[in-house]
Formats: sequence, C-alpha cells, structure tokens
Amino acid sequence: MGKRWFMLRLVSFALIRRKSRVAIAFIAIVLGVAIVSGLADVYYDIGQKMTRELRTYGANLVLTPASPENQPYLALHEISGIAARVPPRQLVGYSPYLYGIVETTSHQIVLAGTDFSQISRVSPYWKIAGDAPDKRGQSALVGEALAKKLGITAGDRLELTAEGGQTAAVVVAGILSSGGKEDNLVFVDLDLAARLLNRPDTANVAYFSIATDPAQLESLVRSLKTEFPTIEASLIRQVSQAEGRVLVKIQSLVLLAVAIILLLTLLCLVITMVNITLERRREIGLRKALGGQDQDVMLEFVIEGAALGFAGGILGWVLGLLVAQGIGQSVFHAPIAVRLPILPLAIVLATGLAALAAFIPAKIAARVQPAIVLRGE
Amino acid sequence: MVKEREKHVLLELKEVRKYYENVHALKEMSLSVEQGEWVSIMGPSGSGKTTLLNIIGGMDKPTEGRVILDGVDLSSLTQKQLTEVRRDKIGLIFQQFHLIPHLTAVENIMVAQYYHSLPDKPEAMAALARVGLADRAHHLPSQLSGGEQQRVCIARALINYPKLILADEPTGNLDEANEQIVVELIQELHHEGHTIIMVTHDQDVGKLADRQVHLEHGAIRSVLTNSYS
Amino acid sequence: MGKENYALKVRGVVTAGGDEDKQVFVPLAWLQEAVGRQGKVSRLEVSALTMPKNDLARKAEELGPDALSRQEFETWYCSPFVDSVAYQIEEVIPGAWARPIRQVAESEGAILSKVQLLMALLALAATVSSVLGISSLMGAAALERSREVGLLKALGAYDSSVIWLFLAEACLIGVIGGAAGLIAGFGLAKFVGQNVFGTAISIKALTVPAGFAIAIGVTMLGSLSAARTVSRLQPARILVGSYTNG
Repeated sequence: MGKRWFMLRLVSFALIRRKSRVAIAFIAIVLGVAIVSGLADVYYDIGQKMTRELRTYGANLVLTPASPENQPYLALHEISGIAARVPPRQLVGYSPYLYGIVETTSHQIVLAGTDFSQISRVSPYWKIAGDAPDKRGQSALVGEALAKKLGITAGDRLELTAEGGQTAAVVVAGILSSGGKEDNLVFVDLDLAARLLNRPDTANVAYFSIATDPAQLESLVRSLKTEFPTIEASLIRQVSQAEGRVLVKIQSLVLLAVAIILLLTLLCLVITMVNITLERRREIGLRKALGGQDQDVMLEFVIEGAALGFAGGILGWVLGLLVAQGIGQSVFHAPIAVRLPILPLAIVLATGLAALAAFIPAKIAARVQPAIVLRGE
Repeated sequence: MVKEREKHVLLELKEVRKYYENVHALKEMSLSVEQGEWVSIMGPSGSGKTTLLNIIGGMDKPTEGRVILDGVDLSSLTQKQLTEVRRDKIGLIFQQFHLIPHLTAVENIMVAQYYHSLPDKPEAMAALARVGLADRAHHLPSQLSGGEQQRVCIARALINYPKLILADEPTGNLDEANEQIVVELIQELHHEGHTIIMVTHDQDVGKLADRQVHLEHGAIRSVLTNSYS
Repeated sequence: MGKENYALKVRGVVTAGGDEDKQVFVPLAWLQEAVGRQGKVSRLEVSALTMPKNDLARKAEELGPDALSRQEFETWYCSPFVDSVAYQIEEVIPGAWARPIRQVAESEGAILSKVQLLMALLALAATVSSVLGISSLMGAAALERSREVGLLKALGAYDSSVIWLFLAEACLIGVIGGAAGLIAGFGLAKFVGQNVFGTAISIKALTVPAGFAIAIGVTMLGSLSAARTVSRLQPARILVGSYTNG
C-alpha cells in the first residue's frame, strides 16, 4: 500500500470516525460560509433591488420639447422610440401627458390625457378613491382639490367641451390624491384627450421611471440628447439625487454590517478548528513518538482541515443561496441574483482558513516534545 | 533458557543530568544496558523514572551528559535526527496505551509502519496474531478491553523491529488477569533476545527483569542483578 | 390695482427637473408687498420627520380618522404619521387644506420599512454568528478546565451543579462582556452615524437592558453545550487523563 494512499485513508478515517467532533467544526464552517456568502449575494444585489424599490418615488426622467417656441409638442412615436432605447429590464414604465383647457358646465379646468395602464408603474404613490379608470369606458380621474371645489364625487358624469367645439362625456371613476399639482387636474385617456383637443399622436411631456443608478441615468440622458435633438431629456433631480444619497447610505450600512458579520464568523470558524485540533495534542505527540516527522504529521492535519473547509465551503454556499433568497423574499419580495463568482471565493476562503486554522495549533503541538505521551497526565 | 550473550553494549548513559528550570529531575546518572538485557527501573513517583525513559527514547534531551544508543550519540542530534532514531530503533509501550481512538487495531499498527517506511497490512495482521488479537483487528480502541489495547500497543512497538523496547508502566492500567498476559508477552520478547527497559512501580513485575535499577530523587540508589539464568 | 414695473436682478439659475424650472423665485416678503397680500401665502410646504405607516395609519387613511375608535384615534393622533400631522395642521390653520405629498411620503415609508427589515435580518445574522463564536470560545475554555471539573466531581459535585457553575460563570461573563460590548456598540453607532448619515444616532435607553439580556442569553446559550460535555466527563477519566477515551 502506498504511503500517500495510506495518508489519505488516515485523513478520511479521522474525518469519518470522529463524527461528533468533526460535525461541530463542519457546522461552524457551513453556517459561517452560508451567512457570509448569502450576505455577499444580498450586498451585491442590494443596489439593483433598492433602485427598483426606489421607483415608488415615481418618474425620474422627464421628456419635453427641446424648443417649445417652434414645436411645442412631442410626437408619440418619438416617445416610444426613446422607450425602446432603454433596456427593457430597467424600464419600469413611462407615461405621456397631453394637457389642455376644457370647459365643464360651470368652470374651465385643466385636462390631462394619459395612459391609465401606466399609473401604477410611473406614479405608484397616487391614491385613488373609487375605481381605477379603464381605457374603453370614457372614464376620468378627478384631482381631490378640484373635486372638492366643484363638488364632484366618484360616479358623476362630466360634460367636457374644448375650445374647438369638440365635446365628450366622461364618468368620474375615482378621486385622485397625490398632494401635488395633480390634485387640480382631470385625467382622461390619452386618445380621448387627443380627440378633444385635436392634437392626435402628440404629448406635452412624458415621464419615465427607470430602475438604474444615477450615473447610468446621467449617461442615458447624454446619449438621448445626441440621438433625439428635438427632445429635451432631463433628470428629475429631487428624485434622482435623493435616490443616489439613500442608495449610498444603505449600501455602506449593509457593507459595514456584512463586514462585521464576516469577521465574527471567520473568527468563530478559526476558533472551532483550533479547538478540535488542540484536542488532539496527545495524538500529535504520539505520532511524533512513533517516528513521524513534524511536516508529515502537520500535513495530515492541514489536509484534514482543507478537506473539511472544501466540503463546508460548497455546502455553505448552497445554504447561503437559501439565506439570500430568504432575505430577498422577506425584504424585497423578489429573488436575489445568484453570483457564481462567490462560489469559488467561498471555497477558497473556507478551505484556506480551515487549513490554516488546523495548521497553527498542529504546528504548536508538533513543537512540543513527544514526551507528552509518557507523562501520565 | 541459556543464551550465549556477546557482551555488546546497546545503550550507555554517561553522567546524564536533567534540569527543568530549577528542578533537578536527574542528577548525574550513568548506566549501560547490554543487548538482549531486560532492565527494570523502579522508584517512587518523582524519582526521575519517566524523565530517564524520555531521554533514552530521544523524546527529551539531557541538560548535560551523553546518551549513546547503538553507537549514536543522541545528545548531538537534531530534532529531526532524533525522530529518525525513534522511528528506526525504538519501540514504545505506554501505560495509557495511546492508541489513536478513531483507528482500528490494525490501522494503529499500520500508522507506525507508515511513519517508518510503508504500511503493510499482512505484516500488521501477523503482529496482531502474535499478541493473540487476530480476531480483534478491525475493532476500534474503545471496543477493546484495557489488556487488549495494551497488546495492540505491544504489537505496534514491535512492528518495525526496534533495537530497544521502552515500556512505561506497561501493567499500570491493567487488572490482574490482563497484567499476567502482558507480563508473559514481555517475558517472551526477552527470551527472543529483545532489549527491554521497563519503568514500573510493581515489585513483582520488576523482579522478573535481569536487572532492577532503583531510583530516588533523580539518582540511582541501588542496582540488583538477578542471576537466575 | 394697476400694473407696476419692477426691476429684478437674476442671481442664479435653478435646475430641478420639475415645475421649478419654469418659475421665478423671489423673496416672499417682497412679493407679498408687491401684490398687496401682506402676511399671506397661497401654499405652504412642510418637511416633517414622520414614521412609516402601520396598520392603524392605513386604516385611518382608508376610512378617514372619524372611523377610528376613540382609543385608536388617540394613538393615531399622537403618533407622527404623515396623515395625522396633516390633520393637526388643518386643525391649527382654519380653512387650510393639508395633504401629504404622497410621492415623498409613500416612497419614504416603503424604503424605510425595507431598510429596517433588512437591518433587522442582518442583526439576526450577526446574533447567530455571535452565538456560534461564543459557543466555540466557551467550549475551548470549558475543555481547558476539564481537570478542574474532574476534581469537582471527584469531590462529589453533581452533573447539574457543574452545569450551574458554568452557567453562572457565563452569566457573569455575559454581564461584563455586555457592558464592554454596549460601550463599544455605542461607539460604533456614533461612528456609523457620523460616517454614513453625518448626524449622531440617538441611543435608545431600551438598548441597555436589551443589550445585557442578549449578551447574557447568548453567552449562556453558547456555553450550555460545553458545560454539558464537560459535566458528563467521568471524574476518574479526567484524573488519569486517559488518552484513548479523551
């Protein structure tokens, strides 16, 4: 039987037959790697996740005509062209708005035509009392302040007359409250507004909600300016800057927490490995007494530690996926992206640390005279 | 059994002293052991028995003096060379048996072969058969009685054909029946011509040796030579 | 009131990406004078520190504050929810119409609760790591003292009294370590506050007893397995120091 072969058998027996002690170290490694690699997944995905969460702020990019004096309207096909320029995964939604003055029986009001299906995506913060409007019915949303002024409630009918004499009758589906300028407007479907105002396929402004970090957004704005010279694309600073700041703070907070947990966990892993190696001081003394050279004896312990770390690293990484998905589902209600490069990192880290954590006490124990085995203590 | 012994000195201690910090564990000790001789070292605890055994076995170095084993001066060797001496020339029998708990009896013997040269299972099995444990070869130490563990320890001590067998209280942890078995084994080894140095506090076991060296306070108090053979 | 001309000097150009881009900003008092509306404003924006909405706040939002029971209303009224702040502004400024700017209020609430949940989970992960770490440290410390335990048992100590001894020690270590940890934790909170948020983090009085409770609990939990292992050792085995069974 070959020497190396026998050594591997010695190592495997030490791992297999010392179940309870090895299990403790193995559990420490697996849990440690699971927590650390799971949190690493979360950390690398947190920017993406929070960017999406921050879209509850609504639109962060607005399109207006570049020279309102000459051409006061945007063409709808240009807006959809720009929407096609944004990567689909990043585009949360976009809505064009067409504004105009119309008259009801008693008052002049500002009418806004928009795509109702985009409201929940671009303006998720709107509160609608009553029903959500649908496109087919001639339904409208009335801003809360205006509704109060005119005494309108959900379910009322509104007769609208435009300057050119076009008329339309709409049913008030719900009362809209945003706390902003929308509270003074009446919203109808874009096509209906276009017909009333006689402005087919146009919009005054279009709002985009794009889930990406501020730097990418800036570069998108720059490239849009060269590609679409007739359109002025600008960031909504109130939103994008606040987002940038919040994002950086959250990321640094998470990084700090992950770093502390990483240190704690690695410390625990090392302590456990040192413990189970130190328990075998006498065995190391015996091996030396039987004529084992220091490096042979230590090599066995290092291989044992490395094997334990390797297996623990893989299993820990798998468990880490569960940790990451658990956090993703409970916090963001979305899965966390799995980053494969963390696997080799976890394996190398666990293997290296476990081997090192076995090497140091084995080295100390090997330095002790083998006479330890003769002292009857 | 009468044997024609050639007067070959296997081990010689010359004015060996050992201090641990300010404790004199051994005070100027000189002793020589011939090939094939069985020497028992006796004395109360703290008399320096274990220290002496450690120094002979190359597991500890004397502070002063020389230890010559099979023509080699141990006091001039490096740790690595001492390890080689232990590996090639010495077989150890321990009071606590010191079997590796997660290895079976035969594997424990093969560990000694592995450090010496190459693990050889048939040979290890034969060694176990010799101490009457062929059927217990695949048991873990925890499944063996104290006497059986000691017999595995003896088989392991013999496996590399050592020049010198060092036994530290080999019967210290055994009941009478097992003590008898182990004592008979050691006697057998002696008759085969093995050189044995045995530390014991048991008068009855000590008396069986060719020579009894009595230690007290780290020095030799008396030497008794048996002339039965 | 006839038309009057004023000459104003432009001191800067504002870019906000919103309606502000189409407006001219002048000092309030000057405009009040110019349009003859002294002491009047048409709109007031308030920035208030509020707390994320909970079930009560959502109920008040859905059904209106009048639908709350007396006790619910009191709780809602006294909590800094954005809606209750608006309600109180309407109370103190008669005729005013106060509504939360939902774009800010809604998203703040959503983000805040996510971040809080995330931090809570991270704190949980840190606690698990600490329990593991302390467990292995206490295990090492306990094994080092196996001879002492052997002596205690040889002198007639029960397994349970050995366990209690270790747990009592763990408790003491937890108190001392908890005190040191709390001081270090306050330092860390201050550091994080200054480096991440640029302001001091207020320290809740509750963290002191909670910190001690966690420290003691974690230390005792961590040493329980070690204490059990050590207490099961046989006294004779420890005194002889048998290798094979160790």
